[in-house]
Amino acid sequence: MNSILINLYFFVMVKELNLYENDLLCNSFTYFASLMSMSFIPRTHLLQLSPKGLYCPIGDFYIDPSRAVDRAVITHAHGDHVKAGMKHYLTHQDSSPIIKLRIGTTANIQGLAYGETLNINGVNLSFHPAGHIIGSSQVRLEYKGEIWVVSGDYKIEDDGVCTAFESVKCHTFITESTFGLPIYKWAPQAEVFNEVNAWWQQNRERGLTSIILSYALGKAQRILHHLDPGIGEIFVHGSIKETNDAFRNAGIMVKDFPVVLSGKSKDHYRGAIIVAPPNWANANWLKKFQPYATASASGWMATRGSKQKMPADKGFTLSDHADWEGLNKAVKDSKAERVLVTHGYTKVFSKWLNELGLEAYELHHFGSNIFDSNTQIAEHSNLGGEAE
Amino acid sequence: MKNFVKLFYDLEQTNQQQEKINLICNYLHQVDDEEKIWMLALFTGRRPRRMATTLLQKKWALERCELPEWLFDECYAAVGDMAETISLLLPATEKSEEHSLSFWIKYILALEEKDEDERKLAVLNAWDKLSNQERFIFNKIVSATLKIDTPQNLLVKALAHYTGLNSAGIMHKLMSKWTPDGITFVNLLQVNSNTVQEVSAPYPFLLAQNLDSGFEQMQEPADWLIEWKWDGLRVQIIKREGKLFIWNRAEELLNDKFPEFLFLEEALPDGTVIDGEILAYKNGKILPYHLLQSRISKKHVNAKALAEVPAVFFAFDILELDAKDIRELTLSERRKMLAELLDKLSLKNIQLSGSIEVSSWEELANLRNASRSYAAEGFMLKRKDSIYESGRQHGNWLKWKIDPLCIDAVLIYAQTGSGSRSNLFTEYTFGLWEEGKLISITKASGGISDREQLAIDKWVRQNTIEKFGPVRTVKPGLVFELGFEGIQESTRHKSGMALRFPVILKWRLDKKIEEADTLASLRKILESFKP
Ligand SMILES: [Zn+2]
Ligand SMILES: [Zn+2]
Repeated sequence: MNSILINLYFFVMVKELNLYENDLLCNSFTYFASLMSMSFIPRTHLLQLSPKGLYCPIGDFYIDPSRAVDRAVITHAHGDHVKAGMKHYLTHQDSSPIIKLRIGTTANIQGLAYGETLNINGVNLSFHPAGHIIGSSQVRLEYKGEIWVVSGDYKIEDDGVCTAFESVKCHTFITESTFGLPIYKWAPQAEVFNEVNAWWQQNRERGLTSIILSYALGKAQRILHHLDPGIGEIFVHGSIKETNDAFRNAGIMVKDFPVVLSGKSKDHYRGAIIVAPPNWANANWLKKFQPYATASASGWMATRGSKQKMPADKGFTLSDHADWEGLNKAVKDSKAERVLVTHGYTKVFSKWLNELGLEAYELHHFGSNIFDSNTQIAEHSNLGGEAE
Repeated sequence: MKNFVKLFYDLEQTNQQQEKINLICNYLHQVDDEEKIWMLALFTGRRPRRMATTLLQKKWALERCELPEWLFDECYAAVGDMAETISLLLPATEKSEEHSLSFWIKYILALEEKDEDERKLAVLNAWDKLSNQERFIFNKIVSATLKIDTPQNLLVKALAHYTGLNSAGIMHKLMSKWTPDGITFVNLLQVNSNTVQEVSAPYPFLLAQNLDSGFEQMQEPADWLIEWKWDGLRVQIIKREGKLFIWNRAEELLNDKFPEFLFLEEALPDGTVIDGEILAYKNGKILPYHLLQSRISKKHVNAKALAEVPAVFFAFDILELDAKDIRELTLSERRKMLAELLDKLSLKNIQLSGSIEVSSWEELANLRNASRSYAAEGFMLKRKDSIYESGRQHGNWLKWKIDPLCIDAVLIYAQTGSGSRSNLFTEYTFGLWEEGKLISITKASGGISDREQLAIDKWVRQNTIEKFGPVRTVKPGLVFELGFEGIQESTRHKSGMALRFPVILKWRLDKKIEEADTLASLRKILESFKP
């Protein structure tokens, strides 16, 4: 195992040298410096992909692990990033109430504020706003002057609900790439919510109940925040109410809305809008609101094909992930020398960055010969994972 | 082009027919008559010819968006449509200009006179002025790949609602020869529309009732004209004022679909209306109806389809002769006139439907058992002294169908339905046993109450083994009785057999899955079908 490791680092070094030689004109003073600092002692990567997830060997903790470990650092509380069974959770303080709600109050959770630093075996760890959902964070790790940042899920546009994304400078940036194709370009959210409100208004005029399908955590709070209460009454499904209450009880202000009750007559909801998670909105539940119109809101709605597959009457293109430009901006602003791409169009986006002259890899290929090939990385599927 | 783009996208997002009709109606109210003509042209397949291939458009777009080709190709793979990929990748429109659909179509038609470089400039210039969705439609028209899925009959209904004109007349006008340039909306639909409608109009079809009761009140077989009941397409063939019209019962004009009958425009005397059935007929054998159906559903009937599924017309009644309505004559008299006419003309592909002579109802009942070997589905019984009435009437025309075949099969896959049922598992695939495994044989629906449907939906959710997109594999557990009207060998089906008109007859709660039928028993039924 040891000799393989050394070989690998040797390989990485040679590759870096080659890159340097091939690209003499690039302003790589920092590059040169970093090569010098490595001297001939193989440098340990601050993070490596292991079968249980992204692992920090020096700090002995995992980031968003997919299987049970002792110390888990959690970027945000979406189901594909936080799993039950960890001995200890470290996360942003605003993610704690949701992790408790989902995993149980007995979970051992430590919360940090944005920018607060914790030293773990010499690794300085801090959380920085990712702008994805409330509490979502980029994780910054610093060890002997070397900085790695794990983006988690993020978006660039300030959605008015969660703390807006802040770029963090680093040497290695691990970025998601859910919408890593240039066909994904988000319109400003004000435009999208104008469409949503107009749709609701029109349904109301036609005597329909509007039902907008949205995941309970993240998208729901964002939509609720931007619905125009001047149009009519707003209701939420019980599971969204539960999430909202968890935030409010922890002192995080999100707008509160009444829960939709099953005993009420249909007329009670006519002209109103109901925000409900798609997994609850089956035919049986929906028929209580007849006549109604349904909509779903997601980044995948950008293409006609996915729109047509969606079992909703209307699709709005609205995402809590960065679009193509957003991904490129985040990479550029991080000033990273090396970018590792995960979660989505990893191959396309890393190839694109390579062509821009950046050192970029797909995360699951980076150092993959050290580890089992069965390492699982959560992927957002366009059939709608938790986050989209 | 805003209105047209909105119509296109809105139509795509609903599968409710009434909603589609409303959308088209609203659109017609919003746009001027010139745009209406172009919209009708696009909706009826009269699109401008191709001015640039999608590949050429891709080349131009690549230059404009400054992306490497491999990245463009990755995007195309995700989107699945070239025109849409281009529309999404082009830089955002800085200064959009609103022009009507007519403006842009004329703009595209003007490309005809230009060479490739000029076309490129014109297309790039248009892209700069159009929004994303408009670019998509524009690209589709330029490459002549715009496909409108809205059925013609909905377009006709919307037009009928909008103009107040009769839908048969509108359908006829739309189906006739016209081109969008040099015709106005008013000219297309209104002028002569009344006379056209009268000239072309079919008589209301006389429909047969099921023979439910016995033969007590039917007197002697000799009082009845007995014909095999074929499974074909009921039509009236009309020749009036020098023009031929082939109408089905849904008031769709089918002239385009049956080039083999167009010679009748010459051959039939003016003022003739014949009632009968179109059948697919090859080498002396009647082919299954679904072959005819799929031939009809194609936009253009090509030579291959004509050779593979030739159509013949079985004439069984005549309603108008020498421009005289003869529906008040008795069936015997009308049949005689029909036989004489066909005899005199001796027309290719047209024949008088044969009649069956029996001396007793018992004899007919015996013959009925052999129906399947004649590719018939039973008998038509028509009282010889009856007149031709409209609609389903009085028991003068009866159909005596053979019982459907049936098997007990096990539910193995379920899929969500469409439209209002898109959240319910209402489409099922069934399997039969073979060597301890269930082999899928057919999809089937219907025959289940709403309450049962909900129960099955719930069961499916609780017993899902695997999901493939909208399809769920379920644990074998439910048995259903399926009926079907025919069976044939099929290489496309895993079981090697295809059922015709499979329907669910009953949910057999009383049966365990082990009691369901085997593939071998179905094969036995197939053998019995072979002549
Ligand atoms: Zn995620
Ligand atoms: Zn997420």
